[in-house]
Amino acid sequence: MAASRVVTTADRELGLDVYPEEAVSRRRGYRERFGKLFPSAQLRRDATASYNCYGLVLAGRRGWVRLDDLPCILTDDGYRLVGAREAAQPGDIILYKDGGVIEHMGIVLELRSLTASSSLTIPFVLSKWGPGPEYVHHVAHSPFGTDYEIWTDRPAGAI
Amino acid sequence: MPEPIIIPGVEFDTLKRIIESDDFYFDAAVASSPQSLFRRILATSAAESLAKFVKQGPENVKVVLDYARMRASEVTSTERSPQDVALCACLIGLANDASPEVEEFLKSLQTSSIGGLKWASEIASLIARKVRVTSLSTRTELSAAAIISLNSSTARSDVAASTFVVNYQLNNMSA
Repeated sequence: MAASRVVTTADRELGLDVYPEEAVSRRRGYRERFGKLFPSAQLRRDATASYNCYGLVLAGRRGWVRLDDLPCILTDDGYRLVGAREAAQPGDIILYKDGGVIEHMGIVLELRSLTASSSLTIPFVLSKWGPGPEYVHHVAHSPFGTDYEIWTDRPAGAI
Repeated sequence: MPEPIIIPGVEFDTLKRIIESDDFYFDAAVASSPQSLFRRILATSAAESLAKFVKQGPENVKVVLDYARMRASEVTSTERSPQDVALCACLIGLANDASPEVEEFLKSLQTSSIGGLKWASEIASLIARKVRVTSLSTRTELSAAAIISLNSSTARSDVAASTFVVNYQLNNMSA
């Protein structure tokens, strides 16, 4: 495992871990398993152990961002929780929780109408599932449940 | 109706096949914290079966413990592996057994510096701190339904998606 130097906007240094790649058969296994459990999820990029979901969203796929560093990154980089009356926007971050603890993260790519006649829209998210592949998926179609928050670095009140 | 007689080693062979399977590993591998891994494994039917198996008596505790020790001794990689996850499942199955042998094994894992036992070490620490999840939250139940499938090829996303739509609509109605 090697480490590179990465800093937040406030110049706080973060650890960025890099793990060795898993065997081809195991990488294929992730794809087959998740494809079976979540067939509507659209494969975006094949499995790799070289970065995690936080690395995808916050470090340009350059490595594994550590869970412990997330609060500091969100604070330093100016992210805020999107309010209950405020709609998600493409580019916002979906932050999944498990038992109150951050479990997963993805980027909102687009908002799709729930049905043809509905004004309700559902975020569709790009995220990486553990050491598995990247998928574009319905916000509730993933192994990470439905307990999530929307965070953004948009100024409050911006469209 | 009389309780079924479980012959040590027979039912456990089935459980072993499940917890050693790639699918069991894949479902667990998405966890990003030991707590999450603990909850994900606990939510599986394999963990429930393991706990029941262990409760049958000290002979069964020994069967699971011997297997767990063997798994731990076989781990050679520096990263997480299916062996590590199978071992975690055994630890969670043994979590409510207070025998000295189990306690001693948990202690040895907690102090292990082997990279491939990282998750087992952290799960052992959680168990040692008497972390017990006695009831699943609604969210965890949903998550478990969406994540963990040992024998079914049915897509689970429909369950989570349906519930999500209901919750989403309720939230929007109350906003």
